[in-house]
Amino acid sequence: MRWMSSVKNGFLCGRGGALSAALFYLEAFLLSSMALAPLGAGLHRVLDGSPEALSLASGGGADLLGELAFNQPGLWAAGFGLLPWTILLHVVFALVLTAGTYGLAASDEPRHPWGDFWKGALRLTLPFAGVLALNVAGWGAVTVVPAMALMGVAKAVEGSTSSAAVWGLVAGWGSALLIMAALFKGSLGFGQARYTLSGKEEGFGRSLLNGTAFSLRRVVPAAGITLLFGAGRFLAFWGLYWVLAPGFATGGRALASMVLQQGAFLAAAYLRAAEIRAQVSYMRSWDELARRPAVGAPADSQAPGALQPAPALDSSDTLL
Amino acid sequence: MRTRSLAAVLGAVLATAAAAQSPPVLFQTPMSPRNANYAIDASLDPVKHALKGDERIRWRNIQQAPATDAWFHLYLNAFVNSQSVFMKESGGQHRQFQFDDKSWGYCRVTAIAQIVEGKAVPLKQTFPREDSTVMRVELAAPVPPGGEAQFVIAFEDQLPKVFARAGYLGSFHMMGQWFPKLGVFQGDRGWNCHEYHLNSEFFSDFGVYDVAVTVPKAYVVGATGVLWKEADKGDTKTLSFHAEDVHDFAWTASPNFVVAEETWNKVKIRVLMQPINRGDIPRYMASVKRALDDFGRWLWPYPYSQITVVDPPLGGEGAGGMEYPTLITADANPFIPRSVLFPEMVTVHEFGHQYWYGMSANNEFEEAWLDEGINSYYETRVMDEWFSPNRSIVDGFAGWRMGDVAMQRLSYIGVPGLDPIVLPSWKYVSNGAYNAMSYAKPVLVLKTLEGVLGRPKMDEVMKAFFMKAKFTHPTTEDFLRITSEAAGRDLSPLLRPMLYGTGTVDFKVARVTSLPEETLKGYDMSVSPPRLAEKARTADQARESKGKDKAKEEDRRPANRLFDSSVVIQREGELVVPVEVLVAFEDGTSKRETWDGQGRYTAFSYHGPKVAKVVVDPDGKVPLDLRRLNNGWVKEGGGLPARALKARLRTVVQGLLVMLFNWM
Repeated sequence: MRWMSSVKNGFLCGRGGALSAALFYLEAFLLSSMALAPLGAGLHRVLDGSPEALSLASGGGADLLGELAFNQPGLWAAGFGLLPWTILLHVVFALVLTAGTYGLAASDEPRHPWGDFWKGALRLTLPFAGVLALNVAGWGAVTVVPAMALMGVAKAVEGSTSSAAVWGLVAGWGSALLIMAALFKGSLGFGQARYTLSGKEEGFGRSLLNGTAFSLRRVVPAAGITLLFGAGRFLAFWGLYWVLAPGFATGGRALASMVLQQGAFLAAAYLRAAEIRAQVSYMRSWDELARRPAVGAPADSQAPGALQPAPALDSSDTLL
Repeated sequence: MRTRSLAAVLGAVLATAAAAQSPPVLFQTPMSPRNANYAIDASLDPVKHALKGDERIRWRNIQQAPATDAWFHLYLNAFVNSQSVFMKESGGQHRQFQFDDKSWGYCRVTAIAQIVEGKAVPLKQTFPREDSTVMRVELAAPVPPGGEAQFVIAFEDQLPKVFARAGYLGSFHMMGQWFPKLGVFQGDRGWNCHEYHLNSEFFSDFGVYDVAVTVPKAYVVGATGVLWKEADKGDTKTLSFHAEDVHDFAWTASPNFVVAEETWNKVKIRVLMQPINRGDIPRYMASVKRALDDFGRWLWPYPYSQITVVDPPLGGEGAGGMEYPTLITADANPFIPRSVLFPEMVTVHEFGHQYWYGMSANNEFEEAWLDEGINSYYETRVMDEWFSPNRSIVDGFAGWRMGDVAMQRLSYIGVPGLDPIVLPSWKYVSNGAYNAMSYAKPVLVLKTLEGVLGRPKMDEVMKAFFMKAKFTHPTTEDFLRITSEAAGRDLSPLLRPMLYGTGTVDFKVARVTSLPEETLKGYDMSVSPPRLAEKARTADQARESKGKDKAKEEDRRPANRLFDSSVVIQREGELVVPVEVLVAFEDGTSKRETWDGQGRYTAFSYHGPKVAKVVVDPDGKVPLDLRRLNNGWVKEGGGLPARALKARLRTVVQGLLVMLFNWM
């Protein structure tokens, strides 16, 4: 199964993937630390001298948070003052890091990951900014469509007496949305992979179109890869909020929760790097099948850490 | 709609009365004045969501002035069109529920007559108020003090799609405020009969209700009172309910209800549940049992033989969270996690209204705090004792928890000084202010009173008030008088500003100083004859140098050094409330001080170990305190709360940044 092999290639990322994951993680850690520094200072100023504030440390004191909101409006304004700039900076950094990761994934010289990373970043960052624009539009749709879907579900379950019907509707709408999101995201991802592999042979716009066509022709494996990594990230974040977050409410587990929290972020970063490598691997395997030499395909596919093309098509791959 | 002739109405009502068997007697001795008694025969059309009813009212004038007219509430006319007071005030939204403007509703009186010497004399309807939710008729024969009037009324209801208490959703019908209902005659002040306002609830006299409802045979019905007769006719059935010493009658009908019944303390608990929420039946049952126990213990055993809990359908939550005599509507939802205790809280709250509204029947239009506020205070007590004070609303949802009192504080501190508690409900600056002043602030006021009196005395005082208020229409002044009598002291100076004023209170630690004990200069008058202190010190130093170096070294250790400390506590805001102050010292000892709250500040002085921590109101006895974060001072805080909050925020911010990678 070609797509499973690609996923395996993604997960067995070697030094290149590890470098990408580490960069993703470190960038988010440093920028969030920077964004939260003023708020942290403000919270220390307001709370350190107050014995009452202790209940906040253990997950209580919602009314005290309300007090902070009502009586210390400056705290939040100043505390989150850096956040918009951080996000802006993050968008730029994330573009560079993502481009570098795609470049690294398609690299034929994985012995020099650092150099390959920057080569990819230099070549791909600008075109990938277009993906960002598409994503903004996509997010718009992704915000509007679920809102409409939610309204539809709310209307549909109005007066419903059957649990099965309600959960069936929720599951149905949820699945449809998930598949739509996976197709949208997968199309962009395979477009990026295609552009990365095709070098300057194909313009970025054409690569995106071909990437979309590619993922639509192979809708099950293409959406499957996206959904698989999406599910991994969901599990990481689910764990963050529902398993680890309660640890902050208990003094003894706070430190452990903090460490595990960073572990979850690292896992999410690793999954992103692995997803990119899996997309590139899957795209490359089909290019080879078409007897079309993929630009940037490894000259020495046996080089250690090199991205392996997935094996030939078997009956489990779906062609649409 | 077809209009029936008055003769037909009268004939129907009298025939029903003649044919009726006698309903059971529930209370041998009436508990209330029973001066507004209703017999209603109603038939529901579940397809059109409409109802036709015949009503006979026997009303006794218990005031000292004659009544020359009668005023009725036609509450359903709140939904008649966009010009009703309710719709204008609400803009079609009640709580978070939106009105469906394709589904208006009304209550129309098709005929009304007064029975005078056995004859029906038609009365002319007028609408003297801003909308048609209030109807007035000039009486054919005035009613002297102690006299009685009888009315026969034919009426038709069209139900709106439910968004504010009454209405329908599919086959679910919630019949609240559904029949023409008398206002409250107040003698020389006339009838107290306000329009149906967005923020107001209701007010009426006690009586006996005999209500027969006809519904399709497959429908399950829940109602005020007890079911005493059931008769089938074709595809329909007629259920007869009887209630005594209540001031309203509500019912619900749906073919989908799952019925669960249990008996607890001789009270039948009947839960009418949506099938989708059947898993929450134990939550409702447990809540009612807990409330029956606690209210019975603190105030008076629940006197009625039944309590019905109605669970509205998905999308019909606008009918939820409402109280009627012996029938309450709750609010479950398959999407509410177990750690969020809203279903319990709402059920306990609505049950509590059986006491504060049901029995102590204040004017909800004008002094809503007397039921909502006092009842919310008891709700917090039940919830806090059942779960625990700091997790009685949210119990560990993603590591967060919140107590009921904290939730009330959250509501109050957003709008603390805009309106007083005692204010007609439609005069509040906003819906948020009404909620804060009618529910939240009274909880904090009563908790503060509890802190002043102590729990046992508070129980005594509140029970005394309830016992005198039950089956009457108590006012805020009654509350102040009765509670003062029971407390053995005038509580007005404390409570009146809290209830009638907009003042606030905010205690804070203004200053803490601990200075090393000062070296004496000049004459030491403690010895005779006085000598210069410096000479004494020189002598001391000489002694120390002869072998007491070790002891001196001991004295110099920080823990053993002596300090002159001063703690200044300040009171901001207009409310004067006594408060306790805890002062802890570095050697582990502490002192608890009491300040009567008079003046703007007080100061405490100490000679001894250095002050390590000061906490104003350490036991949280003054939850009315607007800002609790400034209530303390600690020498070394450690920064744990700030670090914990920052870690939680990091989950969001870093998580957001990591997620953004997926869209690049």
